[in-house]
Amino acid sequence: MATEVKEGQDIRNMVRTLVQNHGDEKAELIPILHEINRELGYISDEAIKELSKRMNLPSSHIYSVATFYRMLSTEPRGRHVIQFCESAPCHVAGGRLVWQKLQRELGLAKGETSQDDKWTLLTTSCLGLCGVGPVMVIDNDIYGNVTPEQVPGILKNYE
Amino acid sequence: MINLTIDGKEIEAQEGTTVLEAAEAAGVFVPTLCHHPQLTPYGGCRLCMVEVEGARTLQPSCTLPATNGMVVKTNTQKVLDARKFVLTLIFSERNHFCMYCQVSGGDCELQNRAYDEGMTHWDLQPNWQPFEVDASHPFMVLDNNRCILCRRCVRACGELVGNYTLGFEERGADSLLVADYNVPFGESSCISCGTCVQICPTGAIIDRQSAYQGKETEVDHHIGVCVECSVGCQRNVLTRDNRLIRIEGEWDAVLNHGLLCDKGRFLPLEDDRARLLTPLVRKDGSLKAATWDDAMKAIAEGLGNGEGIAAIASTRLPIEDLALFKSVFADALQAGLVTTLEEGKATASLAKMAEKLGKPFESNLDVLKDTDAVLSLELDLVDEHQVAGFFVKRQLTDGTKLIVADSKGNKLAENASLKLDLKAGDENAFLDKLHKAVQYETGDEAFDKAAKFLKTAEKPVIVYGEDFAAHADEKALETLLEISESLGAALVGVKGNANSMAASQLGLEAPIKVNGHKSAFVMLGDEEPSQKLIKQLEEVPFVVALAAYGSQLTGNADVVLPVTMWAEQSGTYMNMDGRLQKAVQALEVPDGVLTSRDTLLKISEALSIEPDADWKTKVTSRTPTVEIKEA
Ligand code: SF4
Ligand code: SF4
Ligand code: SF4
Ligand code: FES
Ligand code: FES
Repeated sequence: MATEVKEGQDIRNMVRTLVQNHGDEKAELIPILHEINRELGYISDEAIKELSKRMNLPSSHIYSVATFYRMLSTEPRGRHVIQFCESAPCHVAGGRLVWQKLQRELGLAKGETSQDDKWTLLTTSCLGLCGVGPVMVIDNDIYGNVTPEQVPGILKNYE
Repeated sequence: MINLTIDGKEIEAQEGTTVLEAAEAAGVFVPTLCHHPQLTPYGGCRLCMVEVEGARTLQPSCTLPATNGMVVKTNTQKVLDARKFVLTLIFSERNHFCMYCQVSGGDCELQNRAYDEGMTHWDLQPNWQPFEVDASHPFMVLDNNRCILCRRCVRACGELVGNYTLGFEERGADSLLVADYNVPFGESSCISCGTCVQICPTGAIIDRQSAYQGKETEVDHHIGVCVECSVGCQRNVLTRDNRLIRIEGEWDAVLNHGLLCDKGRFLPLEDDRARLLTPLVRKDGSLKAATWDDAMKAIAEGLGNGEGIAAIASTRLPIEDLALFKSVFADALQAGLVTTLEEGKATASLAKMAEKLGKPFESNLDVLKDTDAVLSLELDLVDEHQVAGFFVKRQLTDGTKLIVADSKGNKLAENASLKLDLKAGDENAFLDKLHKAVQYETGDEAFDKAAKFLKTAEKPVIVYGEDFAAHADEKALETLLEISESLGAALVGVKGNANSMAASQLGLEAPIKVNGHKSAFVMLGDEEPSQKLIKQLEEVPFVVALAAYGSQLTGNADVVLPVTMWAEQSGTYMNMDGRLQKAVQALEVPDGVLTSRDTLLKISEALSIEPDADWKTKVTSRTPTVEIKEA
């Protein structure tokens, strides 16, 4: 996830290069936002402003897209992002208890980032993996059939 | 034509109409919230659900195309239940404790629709989560607690205004209306046109100037033309107890279909200049309050007649006033200079060309609403004539090419596909170059590209402003006409103030050159005089000023007559594309004040002149640049 802190000119250069590589077609917006999110850990105001200029899209539009998808963030996030499925099938499969355990274990509520910038805890709508609910995703790793007891062990895998 | 049945009525409808439109045409009321006649159907709120025979579920009528043989029912129990359910969900989503809301009691579409359905309460727990209120904007307050997520404001700001300031953060219950990338509304790209506040069905966007000052039913409505520029938007001036409350755009107006700019909507209510309410006459070096009779005497003594008079009028005044002004000063008094504050800068060269051609050569403003390439010459439609700029800006996302030719800071250029450098005085060389590029590849990349945009367009438009008209000579205009002919491009001249074109039709467009004039008569109305004019008049021994507001010019004058401001007078205006429209009086004339027209009549009497009050024939007798029409 987030590597080094970039600002000002660096961000503008990065956005410019991304738009050069992807082209400025509207359809490229989400792939470009993805890459910015990967590079910076989040999509900063500076990046939105530059993207608006380069792609000739209103910043309101870019901001709406950037906040619509859970995989994207307009706020700095922790090194590891946990997305817990909050939709009904996972819920009835015991999701609630797992969710409570997660919050307790991390000392975080929905949407929060830990003091040491290690964790960000988010919820997400159905990930299409209901067959193995409860489901949670940490960074790019997917965990299915999660029980409350497994939670501490899973978290230990991350530095 | 197709035939369908709505609530048992046989209805004939145009192909392509929606079920909602067909129902409305047949006089059947279907409640809506997210729908607005000026916006593309959206289908977001689901209040407009109807039963359609053969369809499994209820259908949103606002997005459903009417088809032949369709059988629609709008008032079955199923439909009524669905409406209540939808309203319940909307009410319980946010804070709808109506008694504290600005629009409650008649001006809220949500509340009104609930009353229509006989609702007295709703059965779901409200959402208690509060959202921050954004009061950073000078004219509007944004309160997400009242927002029903209909997105009318977002769509209006984009689709109608082309400004795209508003957007939504997040989704579902977390959706929040934000400006740009979530910056405070007052620091955003908003240009204060006020379309969003006018189109919001609830109290989620509030107009600061008129908040809690009167509901639509408690105020008086005065519908007429806006006098702030030559676009000529139709607007509704709302007053209460002889006080301005608010100005709204007229949704039904063919020209501006509800849009206004900040100058037409908000700024007139911010005017805090000192009002003049009594005549002033200079005595022993200083201006003293006087009676109208004393003032008339002073004018009769000081004005003189013939070549020595310079007479100057504001193009913000009605045609009636301007025609009378001309009759008094040009015809009766034979004044040496009879012109306007605008000096014909935006019109004179064009009017001469029309006379030479013997026919109009400009098109209606509507061509700007449907074009695929626009060339803008020395004109900033973001600053001036803004609503015409909205017509252009909102098409840019559909691929309309905008070429901005200017050398000054031009805000429209920020949206341009191509910028060309056009310096004042270089019009001939510029147009020659463009003319060549239209005929063959010249090797000049920018001009070739501009020519390509215009040549490949189906409906190209060339639009030009005052700076262009002021500098273009006959040869430049001839080249412009040749370019427009070979491209099949429409020409639009935006002119200047509200009655810029009428003044031109009356021949009031001479440059103001004060040399040796013995007296000056300045009919300012409510216009703010320029520093240049104030300087020029300093050398004139006797100055009469007709003005609504005090200024340095009235301070220097010898006789000052208090006249009405825009809201206190009626009259006719000719906009930039020749539409004759009425401005309507909204406020009473204060005691001791006269309209400019009545003042002219009074002066005529004092000077024993009989002016000719006819204006219609005078204003139509000169060949116009664009066809004149009664609107
Ligand atoms: S006032 Fe006009 S420009 Fe500003 S947000 Fe509203 S619609 Fe958009
Ligand atoms: S602010 Fe008003 S117009 Fe905009 S989405 Fe909310 S309720 Fe609709
Ligand atoms: S564009 Fe001109 S006519 Fe229209 S509202 Fe603005 S000032 Fe008034
Ligand atoms: S409900 Fe959790 S993955 Fe579908
Ligand atoms: S009015 Fe039809 S869905 Fe909102």
